[in-house]
Amino acid sequence: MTQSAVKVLIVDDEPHARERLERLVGELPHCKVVGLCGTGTEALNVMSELEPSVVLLDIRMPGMSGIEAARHLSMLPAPPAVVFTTAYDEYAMEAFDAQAVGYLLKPIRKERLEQALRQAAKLTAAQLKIVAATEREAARRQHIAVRVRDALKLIPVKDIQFFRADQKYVSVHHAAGDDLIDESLTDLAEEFSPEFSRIHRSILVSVEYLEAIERDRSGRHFARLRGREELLPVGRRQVGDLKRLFSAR
Amino acid sequence: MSKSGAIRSSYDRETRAGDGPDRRRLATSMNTPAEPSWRRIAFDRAPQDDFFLPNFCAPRMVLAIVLILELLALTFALARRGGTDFLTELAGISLFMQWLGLTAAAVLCYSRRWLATLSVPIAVLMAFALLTANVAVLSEATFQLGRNLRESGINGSLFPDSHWAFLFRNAGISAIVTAMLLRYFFVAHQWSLHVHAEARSRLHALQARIRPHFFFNSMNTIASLTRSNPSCAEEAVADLADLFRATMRDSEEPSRMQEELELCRTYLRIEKLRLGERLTVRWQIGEVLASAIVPRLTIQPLLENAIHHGIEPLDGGGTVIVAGVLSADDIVITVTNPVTDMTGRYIRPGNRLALENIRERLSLAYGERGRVDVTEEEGHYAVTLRFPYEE
Repeated sequence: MTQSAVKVLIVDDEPHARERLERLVGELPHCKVVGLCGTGTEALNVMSELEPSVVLLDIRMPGMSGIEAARHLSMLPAPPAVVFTTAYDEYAMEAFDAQAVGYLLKPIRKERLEQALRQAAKLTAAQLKIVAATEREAARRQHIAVRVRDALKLIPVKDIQFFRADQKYVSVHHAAGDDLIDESLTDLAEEFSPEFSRIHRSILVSVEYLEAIERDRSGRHFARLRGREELLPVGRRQVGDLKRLFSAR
Repeated sequence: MSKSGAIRSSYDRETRAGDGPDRRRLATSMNTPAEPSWRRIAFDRAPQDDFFLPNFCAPRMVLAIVLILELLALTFALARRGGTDFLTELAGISLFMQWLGLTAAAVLCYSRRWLATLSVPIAVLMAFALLTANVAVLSEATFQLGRNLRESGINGSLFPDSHWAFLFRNAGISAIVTAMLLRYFFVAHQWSLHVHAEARSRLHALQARIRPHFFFNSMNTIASLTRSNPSCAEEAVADLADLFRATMRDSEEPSRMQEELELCRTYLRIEKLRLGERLTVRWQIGEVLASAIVPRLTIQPLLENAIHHGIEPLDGGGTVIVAGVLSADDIVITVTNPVTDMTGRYIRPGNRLALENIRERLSLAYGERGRVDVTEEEGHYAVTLRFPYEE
């Protein structure tokens, strides 16, 4: 441990749970609580300001789950170490053990907490993806995180109209603009199926925003999205799928 | 704890010994006389007594005996060797056999209590001896009556002419039928005991459990409160203890609506500590239901589900509505929780498990009349329990 105090951020939706953790961490030498958050989103928002080195993350929280929050955190340029806290979550615990991810069982013992903080490690995106897959409730994220300088911007998945793969990056097109993310279109298609559908080799659209299929004089197909001027090309192989999607409505 | 553990292990042994489920189904379908079988399984402590012979004084039993004897008489009359008129033959046999059967029933009716004090093999022997003696005495009396009638010049064609042949034939038939019947009663009794034991152990196994998630979270809350608010922590420990006690109680004991609702409130006090403002519960339970009988721990698990799946995942919390009304002769209880993008999209295995559990318990207790229905409408998820009203 370094000389300066370890900065700890506590994230839990239950006030009593936060209160107790704050007290326990406060009693440990070389540790300092820099903030308390009630939701994952709140935690992501304060990261750049508080710069904690360890985040204690409750798994089961309303809105964004702890595991989703951790996935977003891992995309920060200098991600904090993450220790999950949980009362009981059979499946997640198995995954944590398998991936050597640190976690604490509530009610938390002071010695365990001290040990976990000492061993707290930065988690990789790959580790977290495996853990997320075992999360019973929803392996899929409810937000896509976009790195903006040192902070993260969260885009609600329900606001996303489509993803488009360019040479190197994938761009997210949503109600409030366009952003670049560092994820593969194949992974995204897998995670968000069937709400998102591949209409072209390089385009994944939100089925909810699909408005119509159009055809130009030369026989090529285009998709029109609600709230969008531009037409998106539809791949020849995907035309059939797309038409079926419309007729199923 | 140890009690229910012991019962469960004996249940295991039984299911392994015989192919349980099929036999049970067969037995319940056979078991549909006037007295509804669900009632016995659910609320009686035990079958009336442990003796294998049924009660022959019961009117239903007497009627059954008359019918069976008549069928037997018909069989004998059909099997006659020609010569005599069918109806005359049937009349004679019926008269004699009804006499035999009803006196036999009377003998068993009076001796049953005495027989029940003996060991099973001795009781079987004694019942056999009594019934055979009954046949012998009646046969002898019939023969003597016939002889007297003939001597005084009245037509005694219905009565037998050969003394010993008549006596031995009757004793023989009676011995065979009696042996078969005693064997039947014994097996049927064993079977019903088995079915009963199985139903009881199933009820025990199905008894609602405290969800581990809830338990550990509560412990965490209490750990926090012990320093910040010790008296509140004390309350919570007492509430948690009450809740556990309720889950460990004998599930066959009927519970009143009031008790069940009190249990729900106990549970809600603990959840409220954790969720605070996020949890609101609206009660709409009719006063008429206060003293109704409710199977133990049927409403609380629904609340637990509603909170776990409906309220906890909501940022700003929400309202759970518990409604209870009397509809025709049925109690209808509905627990409703909000559903949003965050909650409703995934039907979780835990939820279904609890519902299946309640469904099975209601059908064990009320048969067809105990139902669990799930409705999912715009923004709401509702579970409805329906079962007969009883006081």
